[in-house]
Amino acid sequence: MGTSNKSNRCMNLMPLIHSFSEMHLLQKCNRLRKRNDLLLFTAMLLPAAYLISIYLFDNSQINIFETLMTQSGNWALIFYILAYTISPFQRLIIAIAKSQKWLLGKRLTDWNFLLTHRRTLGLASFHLCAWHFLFYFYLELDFLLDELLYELTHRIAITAGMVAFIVIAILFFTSFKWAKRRLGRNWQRIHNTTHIIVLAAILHVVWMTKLLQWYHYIYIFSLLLLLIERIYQFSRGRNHRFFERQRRRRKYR
Amino acid sequence: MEAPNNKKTSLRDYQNRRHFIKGAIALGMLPSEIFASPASNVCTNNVHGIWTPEQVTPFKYTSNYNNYYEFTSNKKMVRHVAKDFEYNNWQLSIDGLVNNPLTLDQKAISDIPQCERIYKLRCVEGWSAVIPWQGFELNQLIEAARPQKSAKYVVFTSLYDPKQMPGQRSNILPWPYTEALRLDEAMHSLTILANGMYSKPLPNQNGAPLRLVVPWKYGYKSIKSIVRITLVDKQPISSWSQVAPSEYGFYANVNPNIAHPRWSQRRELPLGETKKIRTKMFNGYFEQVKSLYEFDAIDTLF
Repeated sequence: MGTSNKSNRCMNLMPLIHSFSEMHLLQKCNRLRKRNDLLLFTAMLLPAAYLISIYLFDNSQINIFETLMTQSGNWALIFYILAYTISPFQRLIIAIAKSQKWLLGKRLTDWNFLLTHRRTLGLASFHLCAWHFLFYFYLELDFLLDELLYELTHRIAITAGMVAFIVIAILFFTSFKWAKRRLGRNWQRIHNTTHIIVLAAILHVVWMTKLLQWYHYIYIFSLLLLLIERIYQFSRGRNHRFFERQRRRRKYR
Repeated sequence: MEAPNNKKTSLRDYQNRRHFIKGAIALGMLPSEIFASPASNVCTNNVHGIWTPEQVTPFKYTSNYNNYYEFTSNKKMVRHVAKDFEYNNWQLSIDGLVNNPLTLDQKAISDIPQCERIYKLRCVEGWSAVIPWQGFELNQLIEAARPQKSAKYVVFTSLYDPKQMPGQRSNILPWPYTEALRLDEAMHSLTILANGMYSKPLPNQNGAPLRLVVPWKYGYKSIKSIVRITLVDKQPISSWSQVAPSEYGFYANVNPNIAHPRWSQRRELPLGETKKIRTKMFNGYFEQVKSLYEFDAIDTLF
């Protein structure tokens, strides 16, 4: 009797111990997240610093305008692709954890800390987009609004780029905690427009470049792959919702 | 009564020149003497001196940064890839609808009296450079070949040599590169064939041994390393027009009013500077060449 009680007590303690270790891990994760976020934040400043140093000090550049535009555009795309990869990556890791039956708590398999990095990466992408637009507006158009309007109406590549820039700017200004709190349910709706950026960015790259290089193909194919994955997830979710509804109806009948 | 006399003598001179050309060709004499005859168009320095020597872009920029897809599509790498390019047995032939087909070698070309022209080269990609070219007017060569009346267009063909030109091993463009002008555009005194720039022989990366320079058209019209000039009667399709007809037209006149989907044609970047400037109509040569085109049609030609 006593031994069984003892074992029971032990069994009752098990989840507690488990959550303790989980808490410890979560605290560790949180600390790691903050440190990694800081690292990411500095990393996102580096390309911009590099671009400004080119603009200010590099005399060996023959077509400095082209260098600044292509570099800022490339880095904005790279950060955007990284940010856009986060949630499918998380989904992949969860699927692997489920199939392999990893002995990790549910919170850890969620890999939520990746999502906070997603915001930092999105921030970095917007940061370089802003430089990209600024270089274009100042060095090419000399801050002339009528020139910008002409370009937007006559060059379809510029229109696509501008659409992407406006959307990413909206996402940037609504990415803070206070905006998230204030917008409530609408926040997710607004942030679903991120898929517009993907399409606009692909079109911008395709229409803008004379000869597509290997890295352009990497950008385009990775973005398309990630977008297709989203569409697949969305349709699966919709099917799931549809079948759920059917089942419920059958039940109530 | 003097005027008709003058006309007669000039005509006789003109015909004599033709005889002289025939004789010279038959004897295998140098064609430079043809061009030295008084009736031919002598090339004069900077006929339309829009750009002054002070505005010239430094040589280090123009020789290190240009498009030459025969070698590579990387503008900064052209110089390195073209470093060992050789053209010892190079010949230029003029044929098609001409009464007097010509074949000139490098020696014959270099013997033609030269002049210097400072032109602005405006690339379709939105950058530009002011370059002093050494060469001669194309109309001298075409007149020597005596075009037939049916000839309306001039087709230029670039060298095809994939062994020396690695860019020609991939099919980004239909090789050999061809370009074409209307005959009256080719006969215009602004159109020159250049075999030197900055008082030096033309560098390999800039189109050695002989290239075309048409200052009021986008840079891709100024074909490099010409081996053949053909006169034809129908409008030909040039290389870039074959690839993307909606982006690269036959005329390709520098026109800020016609937008390209990729590059703003309203503004251009002078090489070596950071900010773009406004592009002028026909690259600044509007007054000189407007007579070639019907005024209403200028904005429809591209």
